[in-house]
Amino acid sequence: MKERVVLGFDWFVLPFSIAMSFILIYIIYSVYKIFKSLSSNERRLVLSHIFSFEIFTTIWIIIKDTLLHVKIFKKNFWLGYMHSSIAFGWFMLIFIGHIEVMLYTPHRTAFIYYPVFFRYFVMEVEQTLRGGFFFFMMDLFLLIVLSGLVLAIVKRFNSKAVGMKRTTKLPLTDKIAMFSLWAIFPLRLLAESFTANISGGSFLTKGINSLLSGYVNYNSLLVPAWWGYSISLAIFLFVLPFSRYMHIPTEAFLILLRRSGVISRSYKGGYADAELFSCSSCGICIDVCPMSFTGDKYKSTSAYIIKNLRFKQNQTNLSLVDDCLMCGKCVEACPVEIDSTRLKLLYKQSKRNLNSSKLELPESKIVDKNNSILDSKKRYDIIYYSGCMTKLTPSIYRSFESVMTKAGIEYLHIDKEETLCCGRPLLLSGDIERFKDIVRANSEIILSKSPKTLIVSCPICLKMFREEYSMDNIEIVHHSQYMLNLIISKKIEVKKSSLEVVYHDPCELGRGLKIYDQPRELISKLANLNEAKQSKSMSICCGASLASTHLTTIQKDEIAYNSLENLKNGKELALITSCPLCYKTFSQVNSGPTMDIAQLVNNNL
Amino acid sequence: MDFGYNIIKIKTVDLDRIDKSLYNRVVFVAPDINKCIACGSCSASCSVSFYNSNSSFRKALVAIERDDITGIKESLSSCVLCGKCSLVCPRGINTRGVIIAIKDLLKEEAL
Repeated sequence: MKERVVLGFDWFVLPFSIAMSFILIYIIYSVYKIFKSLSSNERRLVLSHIFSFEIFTTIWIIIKDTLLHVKIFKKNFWLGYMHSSIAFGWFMLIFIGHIEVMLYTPHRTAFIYYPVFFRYFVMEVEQTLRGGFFFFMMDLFLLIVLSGLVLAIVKRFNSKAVGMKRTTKLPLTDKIAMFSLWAIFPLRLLAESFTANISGGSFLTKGINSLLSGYVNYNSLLVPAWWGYSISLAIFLFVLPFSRYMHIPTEAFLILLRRSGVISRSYKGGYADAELFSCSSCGICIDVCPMSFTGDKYKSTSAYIIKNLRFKQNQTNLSLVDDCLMCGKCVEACPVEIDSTRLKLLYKQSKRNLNSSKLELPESKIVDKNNSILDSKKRYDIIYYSGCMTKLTPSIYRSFESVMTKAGIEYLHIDKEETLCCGRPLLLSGDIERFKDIVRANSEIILSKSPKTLIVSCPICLKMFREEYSMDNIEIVHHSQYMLNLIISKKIEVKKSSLEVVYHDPCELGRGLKIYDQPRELISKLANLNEAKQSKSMSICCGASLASTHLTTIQKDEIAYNSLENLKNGKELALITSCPLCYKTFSQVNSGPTMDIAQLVNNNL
Repeated sequence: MDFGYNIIKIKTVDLDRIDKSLYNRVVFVAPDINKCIACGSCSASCSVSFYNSNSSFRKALVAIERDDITGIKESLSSCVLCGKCSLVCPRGINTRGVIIAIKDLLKEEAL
């Protein structure tokens, strides 16, 4: 291997070199900016993480997620192959390119463009096994990248072919970046093939070279091909910071931050910026979003909201964010694990609490009347909080009360008459001040009884009590968990019926609190449990979620029908829920029987 | 001088003279409210009515039609957005959307 160009320079390297220097400076600057906007405590977390043994696990996760895309492979083989072939293939091209330079032209290692245009600058003087091996590897990875590229192009024009119902619509910058990305590798193939009779090559480049040698005059096309390759790279790198491809450099940094234990505190700046930049607009969240079944609401899905938050922060996105059901399915499905529901919540809170001091609504006096529960001095070990939604579906708390009576347990139904909301809807709408009022009032009422166990029928309240209230030393359980314990400890006896049932995982109980198995265990003691098409972390929200304040009743019904179809899957099944809100929604659209888990237990006593 | 009774404040509303701009803006954001038949199911199911008997979605709609800002504030100040009213509404009005729209508009006016 010998250098062909004496100075190791040709004018066509300029576009690439300038773009590469620009992007390196930009990345260093934005990493510095994100790092600077972290609080000092978070910075300490990150630094201590970097200098601990944990960092090796993090590096492995970074390789697994950003290069091999194991997570996407698990979800959809073709999508996984597409991403990992381009990402891993390209990385290997760069990596092996550098090794080649170090081995054959070590005095050029400092040249930023040398590994990229290596084959232009060298000529093959003798064929060696080592050289043949590197050429083969380069051609192999180029082929892998090209195969991924073909899939990407197919996906763009016909996303159904790779198993996606919908893919994202792209703005202009993304389109420019995408087309230049598509051009890079075919141009590289052409440039290397045209040079293959001088520099040498392997099965791909050499093959094309000898195939076309009769028809094409290499001498005249050689330099233009390299120019094209350099220019397409330059366009891609220049547009990168303003396009979705910014996820390529950011994702590794995001994983490092997440593994250090940093979370977003605002919808912009710091960790949130790392999350927004890491979104590749792949559109996986669009397909899983319950709203995408309503037709025109796909613009409110996470991919688009993240795009709006990143590029159009000044525009009002509140109505888009208010559509979201916050069911958390997009977070479960996201290959980058962007906590988009948290970002949306922070966005709502910052917009709704903005200038709240000037708000003319009077100070909330939610509890200006004395609660009779506070007046009585009797203490209870077990308290049952049914939640306001259960008041609309009294059969749930009546069934549970009947179970408790049969088990002979003394308890207090604390909000039977004087009901007060848990505060979740206010929190979700972004009104933190008034939410805190409710938390104070509820905590006072519940703690005045100094209970040991708090049983909650509503997963929404359960999530609030566990995460937002400070109720130390109180065991907070869902009524399904409590009834399962009653059966296990033989306080009640149940018989198994021959009823065929399917269980719906409520968003807050399942994805929210990761309680999947206990309700299933309880149901399988009472009836024959069937699994829905998409269940557990992929279960579909019933559509009545309290987070969405903007969807119309008709759109919510559409979501409910779609969710029901997924659950019953064309079979005659009784539907079991463990959330009063899901129960209320499904009983309105379900032609067959709908039951809460408490009713099922009560029926089989 | 206290006679043990007094004359009640006149509550006449001159429908020709009231300013409908706020109402129209709410209708623009949340056209749902035109569907209301004032049945009162929302008020009957209200979570906070035990603590604040003025809390009522129906009253708020009447107040906003009559441009009665104090009436709106009284009836919505305790709202916890629990959404029971939207579940019982026979007309399928997205009550929480209307309430948030009214609050956002009032906030804008206050600025």
